[in-house]
Amino acid sequence: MLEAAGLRVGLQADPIDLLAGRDWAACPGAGAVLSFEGTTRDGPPGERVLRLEYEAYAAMAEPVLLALATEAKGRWGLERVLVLHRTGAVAVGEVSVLVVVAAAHRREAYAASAWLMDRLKAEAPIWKRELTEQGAAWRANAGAPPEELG
Amino acid sequence: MSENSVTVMFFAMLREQRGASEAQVTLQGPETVGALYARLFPPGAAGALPVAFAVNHAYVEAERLLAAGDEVAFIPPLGGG
Repeated sequence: MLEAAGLRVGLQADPIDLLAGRDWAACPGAGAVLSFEGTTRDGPPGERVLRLEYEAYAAMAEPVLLALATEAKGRWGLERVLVLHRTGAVAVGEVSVLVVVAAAHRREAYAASAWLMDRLKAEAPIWKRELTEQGAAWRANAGAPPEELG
Repeated sequence: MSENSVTVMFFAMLREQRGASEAQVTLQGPETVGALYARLFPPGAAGALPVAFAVNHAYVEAERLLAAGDEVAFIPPLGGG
């Protein structure tokens, strides 16, 4: 886990504590505390997902996440930014990523949260292997999102 | 470790293909990160992938020249989130 003023990012093998993340982000200057949970999705019948396995280049991924959180905080004037991502096996329905942003107002919170997830998917060195009834395969994200979403 | 070597990190499908998560590789004279990738994963070979490059934990262009002691990573298509 890496921390800076108003920022906390990290990779973890253990389940993500949603309320702890939300409580860390809540602060007197925030009129909006927005939590986004990315969850492991099942496939259609015949392609049922047994679990996902996340692999990360931790020495790079945490600094990348901190850089993204820093940029979002400056760009939208956020009070707090928290980004946590799982590594290792994650069962269907579990939270693989949590982004919490605390802002003075909701519009900044929504914009920053969406931007953070787009950049995380495009830049954080994290990989996903999907184990289904059919076998295992590495699953890549769709192409990089538009640079400007704000 | 030879005095002109770099540490190369392998992830995901590249790690499986190599059967190792890292290796010490001796540079062949002035060598770019893109050239090193082509040497270790020849174009056209099974499993050759479009990758991004990182040196010392930061993204770099394929033309980046490597220096002894660098930590190099080939970044296959990402799946975080």
